[in-house]
Amino acid sequence: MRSYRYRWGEGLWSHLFHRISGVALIVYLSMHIWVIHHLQHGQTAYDELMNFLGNPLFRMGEVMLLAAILFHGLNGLRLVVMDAGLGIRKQRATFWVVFVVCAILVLVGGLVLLIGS
Amino acid sequence: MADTLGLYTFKIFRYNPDKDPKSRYDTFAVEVRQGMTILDCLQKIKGSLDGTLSFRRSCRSAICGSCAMNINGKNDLACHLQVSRLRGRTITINPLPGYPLIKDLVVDMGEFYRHIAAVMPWLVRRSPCPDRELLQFPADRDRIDSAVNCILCGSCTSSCPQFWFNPRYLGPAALLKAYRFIFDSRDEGRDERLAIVDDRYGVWRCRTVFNCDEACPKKLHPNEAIAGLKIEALKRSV
Repeated sequence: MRSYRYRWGEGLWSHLFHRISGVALIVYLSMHIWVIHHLQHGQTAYDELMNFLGNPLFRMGEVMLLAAILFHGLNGLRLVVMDAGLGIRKQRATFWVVFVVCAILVLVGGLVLLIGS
Repeated sequence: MADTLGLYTFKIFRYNPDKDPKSRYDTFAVEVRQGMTILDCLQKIKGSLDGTLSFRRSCRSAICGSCAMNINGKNDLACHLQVSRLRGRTITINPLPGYPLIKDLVVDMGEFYRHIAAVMPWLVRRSPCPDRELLQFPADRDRIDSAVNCILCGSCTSSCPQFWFNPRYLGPAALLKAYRFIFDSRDEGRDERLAIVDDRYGVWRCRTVFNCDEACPKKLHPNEAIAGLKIEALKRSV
């Protein structure tokens, strides 16, 4: 028997969000390829599918996709910089910078995606 | 009395593999005075409330690392952490996570020591031994200064989720120890040690969760050491 009880800090949350967003991006890329492959069935089939994907559920999905791309990308850069030995002692602060920048960009981008459509 | 902090509740993990089918928590009320450490309270509980409680302790000076345990969710040394530094009146104490449990707060550190031994934690010399001590420039000593201060308490490795999921991972303490010798200007076993840490269960298993940096009771930075080793491993392969 082993104990696995531990307090969650910024590092663990960053680790978890990074993996979840990574899996979400793989799922999106698979769906994207599936959507694109409808082009070979002709314009009508593709238009019907695009029409279906225009429903509010998928519009919200686009906002979540934006969040996943932004967090995975920005946090990935944060990790690359720290793997180079820079800013390791500021990891908590840099996590919050990434988080806040993502939140602002998702808010702005989400409004553009939802209202613009 | 003026120096009394009041009554604290200690919620302590209990497990005796010979008797208990599963683990439980026991609670103890302890009158705490100013300056008392977690270890002082555990001694008080063992001495006057429940003599069957098991935990490790030795130096009581934050030097030996024996009393490392998980206190309110974070690994720390019981002899070093004063009760007054914790928030709230209930203190939860668990054994170090990730290591096999032996009894109550005592864990089996065998894996931890095997990983330390795997990185050859000694000075390697190929050259003939000099007649006097090996001198070192202060700047060279500064480079390994913090890594030398590791007391092998196991807090960092125990806090690492990668070690929880894969106990074959060397873990931050062993990698910090490897760094301490790889970057020691007097050491001549650099390539041999780098070959050990440049492995899927070495530096590349680290996922930069940073629990190790935050868990270290001596305020060391195993993550900086791991980053330094990653760069050296890359240099070695190009």
